[in-house]
Amino acid sequence: MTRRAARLALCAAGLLALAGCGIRGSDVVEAGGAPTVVVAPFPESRLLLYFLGPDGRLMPVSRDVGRIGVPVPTRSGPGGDPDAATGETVPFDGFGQGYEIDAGHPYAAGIAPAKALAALFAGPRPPERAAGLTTALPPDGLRAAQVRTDGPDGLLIRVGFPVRSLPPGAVGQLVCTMAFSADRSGTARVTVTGTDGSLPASSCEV
Amino acid sequence: MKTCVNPAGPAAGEPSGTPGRRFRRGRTRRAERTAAPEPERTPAPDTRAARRARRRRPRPFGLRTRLVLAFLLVAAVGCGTTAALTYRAARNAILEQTQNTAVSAFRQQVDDLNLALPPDPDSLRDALMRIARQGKPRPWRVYAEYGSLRVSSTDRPTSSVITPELRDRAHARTATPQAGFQRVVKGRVPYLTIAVPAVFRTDAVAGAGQPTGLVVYAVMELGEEEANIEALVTAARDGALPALAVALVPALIAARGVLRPVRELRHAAHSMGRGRLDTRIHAKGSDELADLARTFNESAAELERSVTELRRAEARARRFASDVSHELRTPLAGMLAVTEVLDEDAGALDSDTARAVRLISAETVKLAVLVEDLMEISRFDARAAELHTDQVDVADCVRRTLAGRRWTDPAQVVPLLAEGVRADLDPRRFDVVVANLVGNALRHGAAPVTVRVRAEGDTLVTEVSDRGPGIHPDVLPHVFDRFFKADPARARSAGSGLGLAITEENVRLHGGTVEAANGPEGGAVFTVRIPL
Repeated sequence: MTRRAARLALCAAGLLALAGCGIRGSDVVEAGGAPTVVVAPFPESRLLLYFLGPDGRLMPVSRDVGRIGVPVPTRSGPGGDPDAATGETVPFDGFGQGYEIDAGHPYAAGIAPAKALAALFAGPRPPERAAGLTTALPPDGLRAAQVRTDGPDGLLIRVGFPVRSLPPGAVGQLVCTMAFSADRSGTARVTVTGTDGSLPASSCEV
Repeated sequence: MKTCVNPAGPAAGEPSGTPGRRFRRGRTRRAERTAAPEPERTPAPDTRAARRARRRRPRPFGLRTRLVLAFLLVAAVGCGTTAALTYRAARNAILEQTQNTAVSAFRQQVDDLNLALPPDPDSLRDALMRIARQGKPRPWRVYAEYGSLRVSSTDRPTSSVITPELRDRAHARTATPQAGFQRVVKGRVPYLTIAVPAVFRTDAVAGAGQPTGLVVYAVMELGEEEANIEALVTAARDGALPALAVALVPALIAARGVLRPVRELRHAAHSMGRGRLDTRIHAKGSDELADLARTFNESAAELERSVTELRRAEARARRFASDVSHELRTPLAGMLAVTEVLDEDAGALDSDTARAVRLISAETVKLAVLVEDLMEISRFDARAAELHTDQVDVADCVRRTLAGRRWTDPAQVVPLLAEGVRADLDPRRFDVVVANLVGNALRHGAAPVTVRVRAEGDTLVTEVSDRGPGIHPDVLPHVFDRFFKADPARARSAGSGLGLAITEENVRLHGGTVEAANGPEGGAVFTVRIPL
């Protein structure tokens, strides 16, 4: 009798569960890749800086540098192979063969990283600060800072303060800002050298 | 009322089974032969009523209930399982479709965003409101986070529905940022929350774009989906209940198919128990119950055959005993007449011859008594003994019995009789009972023998006690057996060996009991209880 009662109870419980359950909560479910937004302004006229968000994560900031319509070359050799760059001339971005410019052209190298470095050390602007962005770099770090784009392993940055004790966020700010200033893919490797020696070369890992 | 008739009894101290019936022949004999050996016994009305009550009483867990429950259980489990599986599949399909639609539509909407970093709150709000309006399948509430910036399409900057897990997942900086969704039930209302981290395209060959730090959330109520799912449950329930009702029909039919043969079998077994050995069951079909019925029929036939044989043998044996007694009676009658004459003339003979003649005479009388007792017993065995009851005064009756046997000496028999007790008795048989008990007490016990008669409630109690050594406890259960001798060494005694057996049969014919016991002061006590 007890067993039958137990079976009946089980049955009733099942029916109740069936009747009672509607939509239940779930765990977080992965639902495919992230959407790609268009970041204004256009890549040709923006300066991409990395500051730190309120939670310490690297946050990109795009600033308009007013160069709409001026093509910025990417480092790519003939046939579009970046590793086959020979150095003398580089094609204009988007225009390809016949639109190469001199490797020493201001747009090709040098200027943008130096500007970006200056902007980075200047820190977030008021609207950016309003969005909770901060910098972990020393405010007067720009003094004695140098950028060389022709290092043996990508970019070389020399700063006038110790770098080994820098927090990872600050190093990330430097590396990412420099990598994205060197070219738009942000894949360049960056070596940071301070008064106490060099950090190993790294690429931007946001 | 009739006064107690004292039939012409045998000589004093000579208890006999059939006073007044000696040497009558012919009619009784034929009657005994033709008497039915086993009259049909009808069951007492109270047991029949009890049986009917038992049949009518609803059994809470009888075969029918169990079968019906089993069918219902099977149907319920079947319906329930089907409904549950269908419901689950349908619910998941509904939810999946809604989720997929919402997630892909949301991703598409966010794809179209064009924003500065950090975004301008006003333009971002406009964009979010546009996205919210175009929500699929229903308008969303859209929230965006960038750093400490919180913008939403509603009047509240953040949503309490979005869980920290979803936020953490959306903000996590993995190699490939992933969109995610979560169903949240808050206040009994289910919500679908979607979080997409926005990335921007770089020229890198590999990788899915660089995170912008912007995360956009969409929150949508699932009320409509829940209503659809509720409808599914209702449909499942509405389908299951008629199915259960339908399952009752085969359950009852199956129960009937099983119960009818069982009931027939029970009736047949009952009827056999009441002696109708020719009871048979109509066995049809080839299932196990039909097999059982056939086996029952075979067993019943076998039983009937052997019982008939036994009865026939018993009847033969009874008839033989009865016939032998009858056949012996005729020569004995002649012998008795002759020995009476010889007895009278014995005085004239020489002493040895006279002793021999007297011995022959005494033994002949004993033999006649034995034959009479045998005939009485066989009459009881044949159930041909009849009871002719009359309202009699019991004390009067006992006194006549004692007087008839000349047991009037107070040193021998002490009657202690309650006056005025009347009972429905067969006076002749009661006389035999009292005479046999008193005679037995005088013969095997010792005087004085006390005869007590009294009424106890609605029972007439007749007690015969003596002052002898009593009856050995081993012997007590057998004193009413036929030809039982308490002392095997004493092979010959005055009685026939049937006196107490005849007494017991006579008492039983009255519907009473007789028992033997030892009194507290020694001596045997025979107690006869007859309902008044």
